Formats: sequence, structure tokens, C-alpha cells
Amino acid sequence: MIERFMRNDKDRPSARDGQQNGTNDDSYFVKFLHWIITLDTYDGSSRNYGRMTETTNYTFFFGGRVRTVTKTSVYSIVVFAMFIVPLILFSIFECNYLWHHKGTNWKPAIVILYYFYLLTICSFLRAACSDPGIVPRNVHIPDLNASYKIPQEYYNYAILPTKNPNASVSMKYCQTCRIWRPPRSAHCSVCDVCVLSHDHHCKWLNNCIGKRNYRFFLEFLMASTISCILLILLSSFRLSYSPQVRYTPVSLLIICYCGLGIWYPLILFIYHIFLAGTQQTTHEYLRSIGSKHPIFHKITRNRDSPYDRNSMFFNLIHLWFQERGWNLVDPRRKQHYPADIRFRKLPEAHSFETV
Amino acid sequence: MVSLVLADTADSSDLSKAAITVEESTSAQQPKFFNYHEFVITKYRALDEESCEEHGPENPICITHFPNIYVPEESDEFRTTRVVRIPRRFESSTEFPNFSTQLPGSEPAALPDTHNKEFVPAGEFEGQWYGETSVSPLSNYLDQAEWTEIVTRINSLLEAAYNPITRRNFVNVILDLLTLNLWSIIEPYLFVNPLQSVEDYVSEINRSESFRLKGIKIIPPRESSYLSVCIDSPAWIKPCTAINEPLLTHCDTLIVLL
Repeated sequence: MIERFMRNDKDRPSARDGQQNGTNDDSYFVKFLHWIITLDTYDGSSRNYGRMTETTNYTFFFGGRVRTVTKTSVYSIVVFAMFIVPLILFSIFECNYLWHHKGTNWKPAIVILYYFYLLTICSFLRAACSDPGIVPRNVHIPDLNASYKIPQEYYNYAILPTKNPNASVSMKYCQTCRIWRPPRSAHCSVCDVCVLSHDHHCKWLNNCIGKRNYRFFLEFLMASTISCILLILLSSFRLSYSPQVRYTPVSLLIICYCGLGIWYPLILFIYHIFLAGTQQTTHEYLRSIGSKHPIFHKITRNRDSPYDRNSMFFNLIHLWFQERGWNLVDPRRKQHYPADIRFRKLPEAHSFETV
Repeated sequence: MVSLVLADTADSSDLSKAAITVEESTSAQQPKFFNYHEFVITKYRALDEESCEEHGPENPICITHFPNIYVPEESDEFRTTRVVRIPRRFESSTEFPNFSTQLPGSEPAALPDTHNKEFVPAGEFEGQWYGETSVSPLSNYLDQAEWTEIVTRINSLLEAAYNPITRRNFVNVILDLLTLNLWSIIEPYLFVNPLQSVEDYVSEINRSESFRLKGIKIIPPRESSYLSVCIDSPAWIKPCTAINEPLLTHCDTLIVLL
């Protein structure tokens, strides 16, 4: 069984003549294994996830419902473990005492804490394991002949006018994805995909942050900051009820842990208020300051940006609550036709002149 | 800053004027809209030639239609149809997908054709016929008014679907917060995404009498992920002036909104 499973991965028909040769005799077990985890290109399924592993660095689970990026050190598991620890400590050592405390009614506060903690976990999973807004490959392929040439014009930026006479939009042809990348999107080399409204590739979430999961990312930052504050408050009261600190060492530990841990999401959250308020994505901001270390730079508003809406409030609303739209490269959709070119990796591009 | 400007082509007969030039951008010089999908090649077989020859930068042909990647390469449809890609424009919005309401060839910085508004083949390249100007085969099937009407409708539907300031969007955000993000998983099964209206409109257009008779169709924009609009159109018979039979006797086109 395992042998067949291996052979099927290696000896799969080449992408060019990607018919469903020799895949129909797959047993249900092999199909099920591929459904559980899709590590490599798999022709046995008519759904997109079987082929998306060829063009992206994603690994899919449960038939494309959950994804993560492979070929990276998967820090997201460490992050997940780190913010779960104080919740476990609180549940074991603190919760019971506060819930049954006779003086003050802490029950509503505890319920709110658990709600925000669950929100942290859920938004983390959605931000880390869902589609950031990727676009398909090879939609703007100029020529399908064997050499896959790209004309000289496609190597230039296309600078196009906008409503604002002082601003223009520049479009770039992505030579890896073979598409004219819409403005604000960028190619992520870690995921190997072009992402719409690309904010950044978050190595702590092990996913890109883009149009479709920016909302969950912000929710994660907000919910984790609030949970930290609530944990510090509740543990401080628990500490104040105890005659001596040595009876409640865990309260002190939680206060220290959360006191340190709160800064990372809090600073990032404030940072994103200013970035979104000035209609910038992290990617655009880092490019505009020309540095990879944004710490000593001021966030300034470029009123001539083609995206600026003349009001910090509307800038924020339009970036934070942008419509997520459809999952444009949905791993769970049926393939348009077998070996769809949009899910194929083409040879390196070269210009017309070099042929 | 270096910018790419397509030089003004008021005098259309002089194609060399339309060459893409890289110049220092000045604030006085506004970029002009052009179809970024098209490009020119100089090595092709002209109507009266027998083989592929270099024609120099003075006499290029303009590639305005592309292979139909929405069907398998082995299929008949792939051989008989071509795709005309309609680019995105940003004059009305940089936030929502907006497609050009002008037919290829009539944009401000296109290589225009003053003599006729139709696509006139001038040379063959890898089995396909192309004209000397930015006018695409689409112009043979639709006039400017028809096309503007279709794309304006598509643009307005897209804007309505992508506008974040709607009651629907805010209700979704709040319900998502209250249900630990489960709402956004359930919601697609309960309500129709407003983007569906674009797909419905496109399939209505494709079913219409005029599109069916002309044999053209718009590729559903979801297939091209709103990167462009593609139109798929059929059979214009190639002018049979060459001695040896050309590789393709006709070329169908397909409109793609991308």
C-alpha cells in the first residue's frame, strides 16, 4: 500500500500531458491519505488542492480546508504553544479560586477572558491556515509555445493614470506567476504565490497576510492584547487576596509572562492603526522608507498616494474591513479541466530576444 | 524616478513614434492609459511573404490576442478560439477591479488606426494573424457603444460587491467577532456573494442572441480572478493571399477581463 502511495507521487504523469493516467485505480485508503494531507502533486482528485502543491509551497490538510506553508521553520506552532501556556496555567491554578470567591463576583470577568482567549485561538487559526488572497498563475501568458517567451515590454513597469492627477499606479508583470500583478499585490517568495493587497509574510503565523486574512490577523492582535490585560488584572487580584506571594507563585508567573508577552501584539496593533490610517500596507511602507528595519522611521502620510481617501478614519475602514471577496484559487473547487494551466509550473521565463 | 510613457501617437501612420520610451518623469507629464497586455514583435511573416523575416522596429505587428488558456491545449476549442484581454483601469478606482470600457485600439496611448476601425491582419506569427495596430479582432464583433455598455455594467457590479462600506459587510464583521469567526465559514452557504451578480450578468450576456450569433463569449471573470476580462470570439477568415496555406485558417477570439 505504502509502495503504491510513494510511486504514485513520483511517477505521476508529467504536467504537460497531465491526464488522469493510472490514477483511477487508487484505493480509497490512498485517496483518504491524500485528502488528509496533500504534500505533493496528486492527480487522483479532481479538486484543485491536488495540483496546487506544484505551483505553491502550501501543504493542504483535509481536502484543502486547512493549509500551511512548508519549506520553512514552522514558528506558528511555537507561537501557538506560547499563548496557550498562560491560559492553561490560569485554568488550573487560578480560575477555580476566583470563580468561587465570596467577596467579589469575578464570574463575568472570567467569562469575558475565556471569550477573548477563544477569539485569539480562532483568529490565529483563520489567519494562519486560510487563504490570504492568492491569485492564479499563467492567466496572462503571452505565448504557449514550447519556449514560453516573455516580450521585452513585460519586463517594464506599466505606469497608468489614476483619479488623482499627481498619482499613478505602476503594474508589474510577475515573471514567476505570469500575470500582470494588480496594484498593492506582491509575490511572496516563501509561499511562491502572488497575494492580493499583500501586507507582509508573517513568519510567526507561517502565512502571508493579505486581502482575505488581514481582518483575522488584526483580530488576533486585538484579542491577544485584551486577553493579556485581563489575565494580568485577574492574577493581580488573586495575588492581592493571598497573604503571601509564596502561596500563589503561579499568579506572579502569569503576571510576568503576560507583562512581557503583551508588548509584541500591542505594538504591532498600534503600528497597524498608523499604517492603515495612512493607507499603507507594511510592504508599501517598508519599500517607501527603503529600509528593512522600520524601528527608527516615522510613519508619514503620503497625500499623493493613489490609495489615500483624505481621511484617516476612512483609510482605516477601507483597509481593515475590506471585502474579502471570493477565494479566487479555491483548493476545494473542481478543476476546470485536467492539468489546468493555472496550476502548472512553467519553465523559467526568458525574453523574445534571447531565442 | 524612471517612468514608462507611451509617446503620443497623434500621427498614427508613424508607428516609430509610438515606441515605448523610458524617460525621466516630470510632474507635467501625465501617464496615459494603454493596454499593457499588448506588445509588438518585428520578426514575423507578412501577408505577401513566404517565411518569417525581420522587419525592423519601423514595421512591427502588435500582438492583441492570446491563446485561450481556459480550455485544454488538446481541445478543438483551443485551436479555434483566441482570447482578447481587456486590461484593468484605475481612473475611477484603485480599490475595486475596474476594466477598460474602451475597445483595444482606442485607448489614449494605443497604436491607433485612422484608416479603419476594424482589425486588419498584417502578419503571421506562430500560426496566428496580427494587425499593425492595437485594434484587436474584438472590434470586428462589437462596436464601441456595445462594449462600453457591457463593461460599465460589470464595473458597477464589481464596485458594489467590493465596497466595504455596506451594511452587509459590517454585519458580517460583527457576527464574525461574536461567533469566533465561525460566521464567515457558514455565511457563504446561507447568502449569495454579491460577486455572483457579475457572473450572472456575464452568463446572461453570453446567452444573448447577438453574442451567440457572433460566436463570441466573455470568460466568467472569476476564472481569471478579476485580473482581466477575456472575450472568446470565432472565425474571421484569414485573407488568403499567401501562396502556402497558413497554419490557421481562422481565428476565434475570446474576451478576457483581467
